[in-house]
Amino acid sequence: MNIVVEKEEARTIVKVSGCINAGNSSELEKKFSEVIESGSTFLVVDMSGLEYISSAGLRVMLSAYKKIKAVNGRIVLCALQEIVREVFDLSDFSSLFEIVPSVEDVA
Amino acid sequence: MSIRARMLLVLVPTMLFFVGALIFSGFSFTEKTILTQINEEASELAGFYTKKFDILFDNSKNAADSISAAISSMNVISGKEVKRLIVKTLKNHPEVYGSTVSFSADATPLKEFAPYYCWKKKELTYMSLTDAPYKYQEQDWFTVPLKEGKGSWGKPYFDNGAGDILMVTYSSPIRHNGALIGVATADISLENLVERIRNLKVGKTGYAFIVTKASHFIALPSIVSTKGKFVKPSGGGSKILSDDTIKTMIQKTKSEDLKRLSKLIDSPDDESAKIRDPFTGVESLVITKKFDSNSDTMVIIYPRQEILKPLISLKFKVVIISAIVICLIMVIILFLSSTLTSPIRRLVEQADHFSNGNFDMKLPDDNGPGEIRQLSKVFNKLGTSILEYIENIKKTTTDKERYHQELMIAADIQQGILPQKFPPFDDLQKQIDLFGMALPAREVGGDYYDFFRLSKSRIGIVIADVSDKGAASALFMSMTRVLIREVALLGSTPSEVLRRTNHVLAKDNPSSMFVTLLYGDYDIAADKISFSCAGHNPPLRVSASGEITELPVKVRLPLGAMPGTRYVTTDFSFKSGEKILLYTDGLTEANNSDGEMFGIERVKDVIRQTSGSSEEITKKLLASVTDFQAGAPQYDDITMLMLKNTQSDDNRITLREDFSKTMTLELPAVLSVLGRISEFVEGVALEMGFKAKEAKRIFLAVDEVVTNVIMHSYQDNDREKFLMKVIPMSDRLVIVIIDHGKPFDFKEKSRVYTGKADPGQPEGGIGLFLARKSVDEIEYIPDTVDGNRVTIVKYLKGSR
Repeated sequence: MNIVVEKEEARTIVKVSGCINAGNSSELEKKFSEVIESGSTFLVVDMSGLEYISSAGLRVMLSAYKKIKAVNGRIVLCALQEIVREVFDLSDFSSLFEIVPSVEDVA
Repeated sequence: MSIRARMLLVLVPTMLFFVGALIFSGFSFTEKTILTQINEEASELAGFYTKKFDILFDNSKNAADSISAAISSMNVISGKEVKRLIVKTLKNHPEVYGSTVSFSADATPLKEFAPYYCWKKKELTYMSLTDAPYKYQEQDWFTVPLKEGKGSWGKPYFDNGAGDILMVTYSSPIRHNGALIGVATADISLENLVERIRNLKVGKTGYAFIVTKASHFIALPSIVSTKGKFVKPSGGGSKILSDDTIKTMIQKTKSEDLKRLSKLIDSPDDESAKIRDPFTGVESLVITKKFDSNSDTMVIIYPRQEILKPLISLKFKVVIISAIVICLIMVIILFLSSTLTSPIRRLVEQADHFSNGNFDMKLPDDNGPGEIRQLSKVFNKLGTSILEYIENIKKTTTDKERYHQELMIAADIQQGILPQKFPPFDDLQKQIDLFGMALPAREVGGDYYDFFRLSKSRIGIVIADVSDKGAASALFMSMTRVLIREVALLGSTPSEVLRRTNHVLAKDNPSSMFVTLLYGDYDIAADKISFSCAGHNPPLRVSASGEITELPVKVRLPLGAMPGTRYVTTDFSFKSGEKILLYTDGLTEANNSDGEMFGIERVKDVIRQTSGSSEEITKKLLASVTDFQAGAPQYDDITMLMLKNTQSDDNRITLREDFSKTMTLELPAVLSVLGRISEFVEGVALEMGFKAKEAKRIFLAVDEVVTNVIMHSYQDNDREKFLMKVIPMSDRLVIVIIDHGKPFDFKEKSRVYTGKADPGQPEGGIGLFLARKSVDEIEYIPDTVDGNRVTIVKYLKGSR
């Protein structure tokens, strides 16, 4: 898994690539926490490079969601690959998150 | 009856009898002896006195006779000569009191001549009888001898002239020149003798008297009273000469006793007899003795009572003493018997306790004397020994029972182990007809059958025969069973199953036990059965048409014999309608009492003759063998497993499971493996023909299950391992994850997540939810022999 954080003015873009599974999900969670704690209230997750996510990953997303909502922030997920999208759909996490096709589409 | 009573009952009468007899005979004897003694004494006395009398009488007789003789021889009878003769004779015979020679008046020139000399006051005095107031020629003493021509004794009389002394005279006739001329007499005084007789005492009250020829009594201390009774003479003592004769006395008194006495006196012999003393009325003993010199009789009477009085008092004393002694003896007996009977009674009580099963009562150490004490000690020892013996038997019985119990428990366990549920596979009831039966020869047997599900369409079947019987072989059998199952469920081929099992059994086998075993892998869908054989008899196959053949399995060494043995798998077709019988040699080698074996032919006959289910055929086989054995003992376990392929076209198993490409990974229980296995699993899936998306989905399921295993069963512990089997089949991919950690309720967990995302709800269950949604089948079986198994199946598109 590869995480790149791009801090912009109004938002922070976290680009996650590779696979999120139970083995590395805590790493991502830590990153999200960092970002949110550092004051960012607008989190954009770029999943264009994410090829795989398991329930561990979903949990991390959920936890980020809760954290950002706690600071009245916003989280948007972008460019989900088919498989990842399936997972989100299957688990109904799609209803929880704002999902857009690309970063550019983030409003 | 008690000993005591018995002893008394026997001893007392016996003692009484004997003592009585003793006393009686003793006293009789003594009495007799005393009486005899007294008799003898009396006799002697009588003899003594009679002799004395006799002497006296003889002397007198001699005196008179000598005078007669002298005068007879005189030529001329001179008066002076005669006188001188008389004096001389008197002097010569001092006992003669007086003597006379009296001639008949005409006999001699002396005419009436009767000189009489006597000792008056110790002086010889002369008197002539011619001067007497009586006529001497008329006296008896003169007339009787002259008449009879021989001497004779006169009656005793009291001589007034002599002073009232009792006299008796002997008259001796004098012959001169052939003519009886006169009589010479000798008077003797009986005073002394009579006095002595009067004073004679026999005993205290015995007495003596004389009865004269004329039956007068001399010195009888009795006279007859006017009333006709015997009384004592007045003045005491005894009347010297009785007035009465016996006869007159009898007349006066009518005494029977006197009659008897008179008879005694009259009898010629000297007698002693028991009569009643006529004079005293007392039972007495009488001795009579005749004088030799005349016909007088001396009688001695002595009362028996008096003689025997001391004896009686002695008798009395003896009786008293005997009574005392008997009482003493009784007391001693009572005492002795109690010394004996009490301890004996205790012994009896003890024996009674024994007979009631009460062996721990003890007799005291001092129970009775001597031998009884010993007996008591022996009794105590007996009780102790019996108790010990009982304990031993109890213990042995308990041990035996316990052993038997344990064998029974072992048999139960064994029974529980052998699959008993028929039909065994619910979803294969139409396709196979399987029945197994085991009849051990002992409580626990060494044979077994087994079957288990290898997969959806495959089952393993086993028949085995352990060397030996009993508890040891049962243990070995259990080991074998577990090993076979373990290895078979790992997915090994039949030969591999045997090889690996043998390896374990043969390695640590100090008692060199072994087991013959036949293992079959039946692929229902493929109508194929593969066998591997370790020293066991081949199975029988019955074709649909009824033909029975032995399957030519390749027989190798029994399991446990040699480590490293290699086994061979042989495939056989097994079509619908066909039957296979697995059995142990207990079936074919069953003996009857003639030693004949059941044999394979009979087995074939029974199968041929029996139609019906596997159960019916095996039961018929067992019944046939039992009948054949006919009471002879069963030596070997009889075990059978019959399998029938009952598939028909409408229930055919088409599922073809091919486990030949199984790949097994043993993975550490750490999350970091997820990355590696994703590559592997997706790789296999892609190779099989799954699309990339599908492959990823497959892996998602695997990921979630594995994560679950690692997190929940093992808590992310790299020391633990879990297994993952990836089994590509023709139409699907099967992945089995096997862990040995804590089982959990998969089903429940996988339904926790409702499928609706809700930040508020707990996060658990999402993973298994996803897993469920990602593949075709997830089956979770916790707690199998191998562990917890999760089987994930995804079918290739088009094959479902």
